Amino acid sequence: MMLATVIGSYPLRYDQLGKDAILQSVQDQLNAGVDLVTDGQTRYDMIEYFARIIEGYTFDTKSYIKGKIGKGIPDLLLEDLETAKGLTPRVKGIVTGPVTLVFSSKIKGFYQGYHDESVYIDTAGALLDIALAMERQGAEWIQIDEPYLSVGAPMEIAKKAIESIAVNIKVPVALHVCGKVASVIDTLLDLKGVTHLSILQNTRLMSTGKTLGLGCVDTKKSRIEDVKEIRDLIQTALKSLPPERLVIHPDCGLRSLDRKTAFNKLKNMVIASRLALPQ
Amino acid sequence: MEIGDKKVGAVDILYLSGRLDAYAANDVEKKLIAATEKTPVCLIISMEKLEYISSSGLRVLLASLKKARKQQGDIRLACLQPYVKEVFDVAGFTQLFKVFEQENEAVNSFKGV
Repeated sequence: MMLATVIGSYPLRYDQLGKDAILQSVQDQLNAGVDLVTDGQTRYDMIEYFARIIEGYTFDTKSYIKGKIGKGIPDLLLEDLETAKGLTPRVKGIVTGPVTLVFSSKIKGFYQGYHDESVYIDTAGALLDIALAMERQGAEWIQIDEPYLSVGAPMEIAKKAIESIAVNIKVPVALHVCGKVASVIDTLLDLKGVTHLSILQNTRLMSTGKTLGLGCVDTKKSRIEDVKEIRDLIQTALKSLPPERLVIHPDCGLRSLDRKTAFNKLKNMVIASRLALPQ
Repeated sequence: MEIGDKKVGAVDILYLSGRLDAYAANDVEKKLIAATEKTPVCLIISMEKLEYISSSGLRVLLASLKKARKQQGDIRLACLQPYVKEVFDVAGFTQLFKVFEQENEAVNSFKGV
């Protein structure tokens, strides 16, 4: 059976529901049949979470880097992870990748700017603190979200920064990259420490031993894909990879959908993944 | 995010203000799809008041540029804030797009197209 997971966010808000936002997000995922859940990233967006908990970063309507980047303080994420683990032991820990975090922040001090490699490496160091803490807390996987990699990130620096996190994690490490990855796929396939790639497909993937995360429902559109079309997509992927090297999930976070739509997309995705394999 | 537009002769100008994040990217994408329907595309995106652009925003711009050039047109950028300009430099976007400091320079660059 293929593992079903989500990328990260779920359309419920902590500022409106408190801990119930996490509990209901997790329960919805479980009810839909998702195996490996997230806490729903209900408090903030992917930038604000980390801009608030990394020394040197500040958040004031937007993210700034104002001083030397120091430690990552994981308390808030651990609290939410623990809340999620109250409903299931199978929870994924997520960190926003160093390139995406730096590109989304205004550099106001200490570093020379976006060409300065040390800003990415220091950010990766703080993210490693957070990832290790989530691993100790029982996260089954760590996922690194790097959507900027498909739109022109400095790949040599990105490789160094991502690997500095991934090689130090013992649990499986997934890398989530949205968009068209053809121009960077070779670099992604060679990343040390990354065991799972959340991208579409590539022939060289076969020989790397990495697992492919298949984004099989569209999180930008409210239309709910029917089971047959999702099953057909999964079966196309199964022509290239065995089921144990495929993970099924939406193509991105579910934050921009309404709750009912997000749930129904997940439910159809899980049913399709079960029907895709020979009965 | 606010999106405004203006026409100067044959050139369309789109004004983006605020944050081009994942939510706003859908609205900008709709505008860009409409703007790139006609041929030839002569479009300027003015970014003087654009404070932030996410990867989704960059993706939308890239897709529209590709579409415009396929139709023998172009999308050019003007008035980038220093933060956005530096991210564009590092990401290689300033090699893909023609970038102008002033809006009128961008408009003039379309003369003869």
